[in-house]
Amino acid sequence: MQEVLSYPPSEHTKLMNLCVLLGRKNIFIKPTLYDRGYPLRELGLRIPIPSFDPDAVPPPAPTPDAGYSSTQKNAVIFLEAKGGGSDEDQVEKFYYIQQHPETLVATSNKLQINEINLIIDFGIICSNIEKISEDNKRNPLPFPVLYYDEKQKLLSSSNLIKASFLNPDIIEAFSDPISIPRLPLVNIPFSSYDYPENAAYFIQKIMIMVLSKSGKLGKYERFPPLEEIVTQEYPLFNLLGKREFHELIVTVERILYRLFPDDNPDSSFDINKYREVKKGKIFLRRRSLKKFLGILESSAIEYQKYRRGTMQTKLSRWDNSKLDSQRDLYDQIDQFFDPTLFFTKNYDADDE
Amino acid sequence: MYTELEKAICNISQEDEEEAEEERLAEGKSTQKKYLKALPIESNIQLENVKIDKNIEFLPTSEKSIKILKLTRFSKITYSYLDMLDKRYWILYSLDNSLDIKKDIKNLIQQNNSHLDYTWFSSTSLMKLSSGYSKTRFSMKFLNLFRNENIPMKRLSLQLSAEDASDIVENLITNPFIGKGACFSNIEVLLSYNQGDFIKTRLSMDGSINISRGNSINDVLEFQKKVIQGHYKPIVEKIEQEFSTEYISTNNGIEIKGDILSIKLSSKLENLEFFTNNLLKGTNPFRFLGFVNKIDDEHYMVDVLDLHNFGHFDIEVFPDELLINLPKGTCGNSIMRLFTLCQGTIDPSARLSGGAGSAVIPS
Repeated sequence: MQEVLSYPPSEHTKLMNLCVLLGRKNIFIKPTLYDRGYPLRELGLRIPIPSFDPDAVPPPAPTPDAGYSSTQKNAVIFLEAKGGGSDEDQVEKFYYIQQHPETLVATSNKLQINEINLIIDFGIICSNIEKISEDNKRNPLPFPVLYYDEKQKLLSSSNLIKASFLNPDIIEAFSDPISIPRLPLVNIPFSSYDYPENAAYFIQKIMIMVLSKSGKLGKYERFPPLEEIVTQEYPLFNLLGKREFHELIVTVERILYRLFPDDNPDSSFDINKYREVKKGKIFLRRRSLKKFLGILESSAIEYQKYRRGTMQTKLSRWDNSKLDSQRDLYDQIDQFFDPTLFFTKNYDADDE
Repeated sequence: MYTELEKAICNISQEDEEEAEEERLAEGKSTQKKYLKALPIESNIQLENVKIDKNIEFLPTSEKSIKILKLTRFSKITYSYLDMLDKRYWILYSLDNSLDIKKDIKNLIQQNNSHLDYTWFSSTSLMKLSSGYSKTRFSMKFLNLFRNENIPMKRLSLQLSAEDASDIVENLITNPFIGKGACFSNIEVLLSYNQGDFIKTRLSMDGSINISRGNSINDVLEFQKKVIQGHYKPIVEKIEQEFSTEYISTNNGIEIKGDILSIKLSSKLENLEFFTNNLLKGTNPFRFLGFVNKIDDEHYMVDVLDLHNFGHFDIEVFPDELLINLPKGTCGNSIMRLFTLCQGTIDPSARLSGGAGSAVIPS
C-alpha cells in the first residue's frame, strides 16, 4: 500500500480556521463573535489607506485576516492571525485605520457599517505567545492578543499584553477562555504560509481541479487557462498571494503542457485529447487514472523537495535534451516531472 | 409491451398465489411472475449523451420525456419505460428479471464520468420512509470493510419476514450486539393510500422499488413519488444549496457562504490510513480517487475526485467524524453515496448533519 504523505498545516492556517469558527455557527467551538451578533463577513479584506502615505503608489492597503461586524451596534472587529511574531509595519497601519474610521467605511459595504459612532477593534490571534510577548516588550502592541494554546485546547485573552478591546461586547466575548476540543481545518485547508513548504500539496489540489474540469468538458471543447480553472473551482487559492499563485500556476501549466500539448497556439494544454475510454474506464496517456494520480503525487513530491528552501530562485526553463528521443514519450512519463531534469537552470520570468 | 404492463398490474393483485411464490423465492428458484419495478437513476446528463451498450436502444413515445428502453439479451428482447419527467431523477419502470435489469443499469451507471448514479437510501432514510407502515419484510446488510475492531462483527446479513416486523426491527436496533451492524439494505412495507387499495412494496438502498403484491398501480406511483420527490430530492437539494461551501472572491477579500457537512460516527474508526487508502481506490462502491494528507495519526485531509461525474470535494477525517467541504455546484448525490456507504461499512448509526448541527436527513 502506498505511503500516506504528510503536509502539516502552518500555524497560520490553523488560526485562520479558528477565526472562521468564531464568526460562524458551528458545533465544534463556541462561536463567541457570531453569538454576540458579529458574524464573519470577510477574509483578507483589503483596506486601502491612501492618506497613510500620500506618496505611495499604489497606496498602502493592509488586509486583516478576518473581519466581523454588527450592523445593529455599528461595530467591527478584525482579527489578525499570527503563527510567529507581530509585524510592526502592519500594526501601525491597523492602528491608523482604527483612528480613521472613514477609510474603512469607504472600502467595502460588506461590513454593513456607517461612519457615525463606528467602533473599530483589532486583535491579534496567535499560537506563539512567547514570540508575541518579546515583540511587545520591544514595541508595545496597541491591540489585545488572543492566545490559542493547542496543547491545552484553549483560546484565551493574554494578560501579558496591556491593551484591551474598545467594544464592551468584544471584551465580554473573550472574557472567559474558549474550549477548542477539536479544530477542523476543512473550512480553510491552506493559507499563504503553507507555500512553498507544502508545494506538492498545492500541485495535487490543482491537478484534482484540472481533472475535475476535464470531466465537465467534451473531448473537443477548449480548456480554459489554468488560472481561470483554479480560481473558479477553488477561489481560496486567492489567499496564497499573487506572486506565489502565479509561480504555482506557471509550474503546473508547464507540467500539463509537456504532458498534454495542444496544437492550438492559443491553448496551453488539452487533457481530453489524450483521454481514452476502455471498458468504461478512463485512461490518460495509457495510464489508469489511479496510476496517473500516483505518478503525479510522486512527481509533486520531487518538485517540492527541489522547491523547498529556494524561495527566491526562479524556475528554470524546461530542458528537453534530457528526454530520450528514441523512446516513446509515454514511457518516460514517470520521470516527467523530475525537477533535476527539467528545472536545471535559473529561469528569468521576463524572458517568457 | 402494453400487454406486459397490464400483466404487471394484474400480477400485483394475485394474492392467492403469493405464498407459493414466496416459497419459490425462498428456495432460490426463479419466479415465473413478472413483478413491477421502479428503478431511479440520478442523472446530470441528457439522454442522448449517455454512452450506451449495443444491446440498449431508447425508442421515442408520443411524450418527449418518456422513452421506451429496448433491451436485447441473448436475442431475447424486453421493453421498459424510462420516465424523465424530472430531468435529474429518471425512473425506469420494468418487468424484467431484477438481476438482469439491475446489471444493465449498472453497466450504464458505473462507467467513469457517466454522469449517472444510483439514488442512495441510507439506513436512516429507509427507516424514515417505512415509519408508520407495517414492515412485512426487511434485510440488513453490514460489511466491516475498514476492519473496525470497535464493531464486533466482520459482516452481518439477515433477512426477516413477518406479518408486521416493526417490533422486531426495534429490538434488533437496540440489541447490544446486532445493533452495531443493524444497517437496513431494504424494507418491505404494506401500504394503502386509498380505501380498498393496497400494495406491498420493497424499497432498497439503491432506491429501487419492487412490488410484490397489491391491487393499485396508483399506490405504486404515489409511493414512488413520495420516495424520490418527497424525500430524496429535497435532501440532495438541501445539501447542494445549504451544505455546500462557496468562497466569493473579489479584489477586496473572500466571503464564505454555505456550510460544511459532518458524518458523525458512534463507533470510532481505528486505522485512518487504511480507511483513506481504501476510500480512494477508485472502485465500487465508493468510486472515489484522490490524494491523502496525513496531519497526524488521528487527523487526515483527503482531496476527493468522484468518478461518477468528476466532481471534487475535501474530506477531513477524524476517528469519530468525517467533515466534508463540498464546493458549491458539486453534485450532492456524491454525499448521499458516501453517507449511505458509511452506514453500510463503518457504522450504521452514523449521522449526517451540517457543520452548525442541523440534521440533513429527517429522522
